[in-house]
Amino acid sequence: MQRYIARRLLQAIPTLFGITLVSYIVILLAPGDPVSLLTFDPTIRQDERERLAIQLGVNDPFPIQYLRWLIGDDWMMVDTNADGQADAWGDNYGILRLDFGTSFKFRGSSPLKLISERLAASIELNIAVLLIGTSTGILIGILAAAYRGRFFDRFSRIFAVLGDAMPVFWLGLLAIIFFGIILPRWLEPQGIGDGRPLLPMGGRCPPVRGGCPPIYARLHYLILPALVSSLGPIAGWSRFVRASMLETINSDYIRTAHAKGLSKRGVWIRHGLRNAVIPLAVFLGPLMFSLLGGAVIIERVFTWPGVGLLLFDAVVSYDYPVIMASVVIFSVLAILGYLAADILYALLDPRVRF
Amino acid sequence: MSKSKLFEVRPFSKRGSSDGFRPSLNLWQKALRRIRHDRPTMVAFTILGMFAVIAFMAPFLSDVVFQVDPVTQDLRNNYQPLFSPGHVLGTDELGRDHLSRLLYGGQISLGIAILGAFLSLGIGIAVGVFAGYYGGVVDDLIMWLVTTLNSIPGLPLLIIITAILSPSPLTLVFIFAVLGWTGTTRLVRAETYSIKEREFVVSARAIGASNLRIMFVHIVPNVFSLLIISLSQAMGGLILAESALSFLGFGVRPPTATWGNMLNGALDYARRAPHLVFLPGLLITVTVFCLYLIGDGLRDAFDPKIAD
Repeated sequence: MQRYIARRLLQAIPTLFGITLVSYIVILLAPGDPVSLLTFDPTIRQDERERLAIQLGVNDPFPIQYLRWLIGDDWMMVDTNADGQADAWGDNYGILRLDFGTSFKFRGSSPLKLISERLAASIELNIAVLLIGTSTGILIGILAAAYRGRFFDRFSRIFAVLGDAMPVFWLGLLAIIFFGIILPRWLEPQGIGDGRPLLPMGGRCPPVRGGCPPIYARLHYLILPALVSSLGPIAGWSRFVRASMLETINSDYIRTAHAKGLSKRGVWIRHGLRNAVIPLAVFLGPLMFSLLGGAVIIERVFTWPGVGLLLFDAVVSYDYPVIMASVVIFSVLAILGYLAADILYALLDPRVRF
Repeated sequence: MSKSKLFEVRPFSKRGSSDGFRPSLNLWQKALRRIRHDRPTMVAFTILGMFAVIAFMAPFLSDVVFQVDPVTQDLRNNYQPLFSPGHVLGTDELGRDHLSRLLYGGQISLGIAILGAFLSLGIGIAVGVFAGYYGGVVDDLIMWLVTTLNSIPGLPLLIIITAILSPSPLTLVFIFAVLGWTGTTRLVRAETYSIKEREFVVSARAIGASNLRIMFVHIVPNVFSLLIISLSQAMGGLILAESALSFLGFGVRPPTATWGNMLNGALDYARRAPHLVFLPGLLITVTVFCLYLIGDGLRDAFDPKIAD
């Protein structure tokens, strides 16, 4: 097991290298350079601008720039006063030592700090989605398998395709329209509410002094974003569980259990379900992956202050250090998610050994 | 006395009767026959076909029938409701005709999806068959690229690239293709690995067929049925990706309408003009739903394990 994990981590190294290369190349495609962004100030003179360009190293050839970004420049002499002579040790540590530079937009903050501040919000939302999506999806999948070919099964399969086909941002907009306008307007004459939305339409915390209250005090902020982004996972889980359950239920040991005269429910739950959910662990990796990727959309629709919204803001304001840090960190998290899913699979299923 | 008593020539019997013979069908003919009897898939095909025809006729419908165009702004008459005079489906936040934008937007959304899916399929086939056929270092390098691209969350990467490049619809197709070929490549590579050991490939090589000929004449046609299935799924995925990008404001830029970028400002006017939010999203959902249904139908139709 340890050897397997070690091997997987080693295999991730070339991938990580590729990710840094891709994200660096993407940024190189960008029109407009960091210098003009940093010096968007008409009072700065041209020579100062050029000095800054040399200090930032944007005139260096690509491999040097990339290396300085990747492993830092504290091992080499760099030109700090723009006289064409390298004269001092660099002071960047490079992203391999978790130095992503400084954000353009939030002067002086490191992208890593910005991301870690926002990560809690994203994780909070993702856990809620995982809980809702997994439990509901598994339940629907089991029922669909149990009532195979009947109405519930057909309905849930169509629902699953629909859940995949519906753009999540549109569902979010519909939820805002329904819970923000239609429902309050309809409830007011019934004497419930005062015509204002019953649920918050966005944000993570009530606007009060002293930061965010503990999570149990603001669960209602979580309801709409979590429900809306659960639709995809519910659709995926239910389809997967149904297929897995049907495969399990047609195997020999289930027939044996029936033949021994065990109750139907006992067979389904103890022998069927327990074996059917094991392959689902594999599904966790891609799910984490897609949740992280989809975070931008759902967090934008509901102004949820997570890493997705941070990335959105960074892209809008061309904040390259934050953008690159987000890409690298998202990818690392995705790789770790896949690894965790595979390990979990091995732990759950004694037949799988490495 | 007629000779036909001894040797009777019978016509091919109809399906279901036990006597006589019928010519065996190949994989594609079987699939086609199954599809024709698969009602949900046929309905999905019909709806998509209608959408395609309507989108194709957008200029005629919009300019001649309804006499509106998708870009003329009329700020004094914005947020017109449904069925208002001159604008059957109302107007958007800049007073542009909603119906006309839906029609033209369909052209762009469907066009991007179709072109993007075929282009990424083409790249995926070429790269995959090379990787599988040559193996070794070529394969290692290609698979390294595939793993790398698969490890970067797709939507954030798309957002960054489109924000930087401000693409035209055609550039967007290329971006989708350049980022979207990895799935096909994996599939084709795995198939190529097993097919290249088969007898017909060996015999082709024995009679002197070139590598390129073996790859594209002998191997690729054997993977096609697998790829047909993923094609409609890929189109659905591309429509969703394009709409998400355009919703965030990074996809196709205005004034060109797509179903996605018609929702770009929706967060601001969702309360004021819900009908502007409803229709573009509904069209996206129905289109992608049909594409996914067709994907499921094709998978069943090409599945040799399912009996007729």
